[in-house]
Amino acid sequence: MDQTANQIIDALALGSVYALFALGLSLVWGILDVLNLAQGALFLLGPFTAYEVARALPMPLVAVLPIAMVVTGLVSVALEVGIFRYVRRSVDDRKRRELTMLITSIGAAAIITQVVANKTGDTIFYIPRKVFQPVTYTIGSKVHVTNLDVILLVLALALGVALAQWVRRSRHGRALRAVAFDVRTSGLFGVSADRLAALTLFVSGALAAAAGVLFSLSVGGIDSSVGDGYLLTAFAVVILGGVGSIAGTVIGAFLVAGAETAVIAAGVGQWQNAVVFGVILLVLALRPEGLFRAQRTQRV
Amino acid sequence: MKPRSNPLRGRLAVGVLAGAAALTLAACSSSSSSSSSSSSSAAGASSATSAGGTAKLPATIPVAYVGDQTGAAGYVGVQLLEGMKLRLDELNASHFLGNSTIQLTVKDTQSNQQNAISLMNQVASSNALAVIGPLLSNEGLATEPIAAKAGLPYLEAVNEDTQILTMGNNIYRTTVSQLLYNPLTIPYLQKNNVTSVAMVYDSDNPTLVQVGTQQYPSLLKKANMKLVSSDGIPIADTNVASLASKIAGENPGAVGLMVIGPQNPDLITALRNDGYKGIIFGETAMQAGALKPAGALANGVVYPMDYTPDLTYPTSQAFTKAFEAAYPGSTPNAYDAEGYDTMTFLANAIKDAPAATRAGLLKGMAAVAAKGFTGAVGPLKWFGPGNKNVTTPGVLVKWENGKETIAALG
Repeated sequence: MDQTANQIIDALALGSVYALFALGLSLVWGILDVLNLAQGALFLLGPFTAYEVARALPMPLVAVLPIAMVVTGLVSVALEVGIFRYVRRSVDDRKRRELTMLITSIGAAAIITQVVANKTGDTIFYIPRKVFQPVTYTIGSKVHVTNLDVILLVLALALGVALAQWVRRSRHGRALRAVAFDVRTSGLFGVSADRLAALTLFVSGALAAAAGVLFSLSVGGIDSSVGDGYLLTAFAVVILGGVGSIAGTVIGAFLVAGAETAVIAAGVGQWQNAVVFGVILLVLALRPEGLFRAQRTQRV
Repeated sequence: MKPRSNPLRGRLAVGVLAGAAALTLAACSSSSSSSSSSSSSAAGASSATSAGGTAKLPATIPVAYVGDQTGAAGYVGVQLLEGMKLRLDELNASHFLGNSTIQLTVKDTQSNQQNAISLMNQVASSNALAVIGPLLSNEGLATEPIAAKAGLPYLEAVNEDTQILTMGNNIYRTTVSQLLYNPLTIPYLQKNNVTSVAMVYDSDNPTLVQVGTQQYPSLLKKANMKLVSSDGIPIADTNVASLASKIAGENPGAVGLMVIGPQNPDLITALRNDGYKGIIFGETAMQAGALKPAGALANGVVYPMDYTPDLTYPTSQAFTKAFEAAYPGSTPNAYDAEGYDTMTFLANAIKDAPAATRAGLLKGMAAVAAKGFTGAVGPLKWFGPGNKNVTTPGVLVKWENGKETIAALG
């Protein structure tokens, strides 16, 4: 029973990381039709920024985390301004445009990852403990929960709700949905697709950074390859939840994390990917749009 | 002294690193550079073998290192090269080979098999007397036949693959496989009354699969210890918290972590956070500060090695001092020591060679392997078919307060 409780806590913490990471991916993919494969590199860039900032200045997490989110968000905006916007304007055919963006995002990811690898000597790095000291609380005698587990869960749920409300109810959110529906028509109504795309990329990058920073604090250390594995899982989460669906992404994140944890708890960890992706394959065979279909109309 | 760049992803008999390297978007051309044969005043470590060779040596003796300086295994290759350069400078400064100096050319494979093949072809057709081969098993297996065909003496360093030793008569291993000193862990577990062990291993690394599913289970069985669980995880897996919870729930007397990269500090952190209080042991990937990210939670973790800076052999201590003098502010690790010993082996073989040719050098290598020598890692003895494999007593290292200490000598 205690072990089950510990596994549930682990699944919730892992699901929170997946949710934070995948929300940005889902947002960009769902609204801008950009399959941004640089999201994994942004997941890495967040903790790397925090690591560099914390080494230079003694600051607590409440200062380091926003800095990492802003820096990563701005790098994400730079991708939009420097790459995706150019592709959007210069390639008319939609499928070719999406493919071009996908390939260019791979290039961007490779550059970011290599810069971090060079800066860290391609070895493990970690945010200094003076930034945040994880504390373990023991419930009963054998159930353990850390303060970071709690922060991750609260932040993932809070940001998920806030993001959903922002997209659904705010002026920017309505404009985003208009752009997702039809970029040309929304432009005629004075909606700046470029500005909204930059805003979306900023939010996406900042979310990836938050996920990366909190994840790296919860484990011992990370290296420059950390984003790759998470990117694959995040895609699974987004597709399972339904592209563009914020609620679906959050629920998908916890489902995938729960499935992974259950496989590991069963003592067959090497089957983790096979089982989890097998289940996703099955779900998608029955519901190709994912568990939660996003409320959007297909453009033609 | 600050610790040197940390954490190693382990010995590299590694399909997975090869895969990662293959995926690396690296430029297809390789870079090359050469180290000067400039001298330094660093203290010598092992004494040279007596001059048994009769060769008249040329003024410069060209040798090549077709090794990983960038890419997946680049961080290992760079450290190996530091040790080689240190020894090279000592040898040339002390006129170990009389008026001849060894000139080392470095060719970076970028941890890419195709690059390694191309570079080995270049070296095979050059005037190089010997080559120190690349670190990844897929690179080694692909390049050794090229060297063998050209009669080029090949020194295998770091690469854990043993099949390569059977591929030609031109090859000698100069670094010790972890399989040979891993057994040092067992007496430590027995001394601490451990009766049950849980093993975790990277399921996509052939060496670690072998260590985790064959070597340790066999050693534990012989020591009457119960293997309570054995979990394989992918190298890229960062979801270690749930695995740690599972193992903490099993509460074994010890946990063996045969994993590489961040998984080591991550699993230790997660296990301790889950209240696990037993012994944690590992393998070579824990060396050189890899556990530092786990902070105080890693105190008491033990792992067998071939070298640690406090190793008590006079030659080891001399190497440590020489390294710290040559690279101020740095602490040497096993890769540095192995690079140093690789160069000692090569220089001794040149000295013992009856002729300054590739064929002559092969005879010199056989002579050195037959005698062995004491290097930075301690006594090195060659064994097995053709005396091609090498062993050393090793040392069980304990990580305490950010520093390696000696738990037991082999």
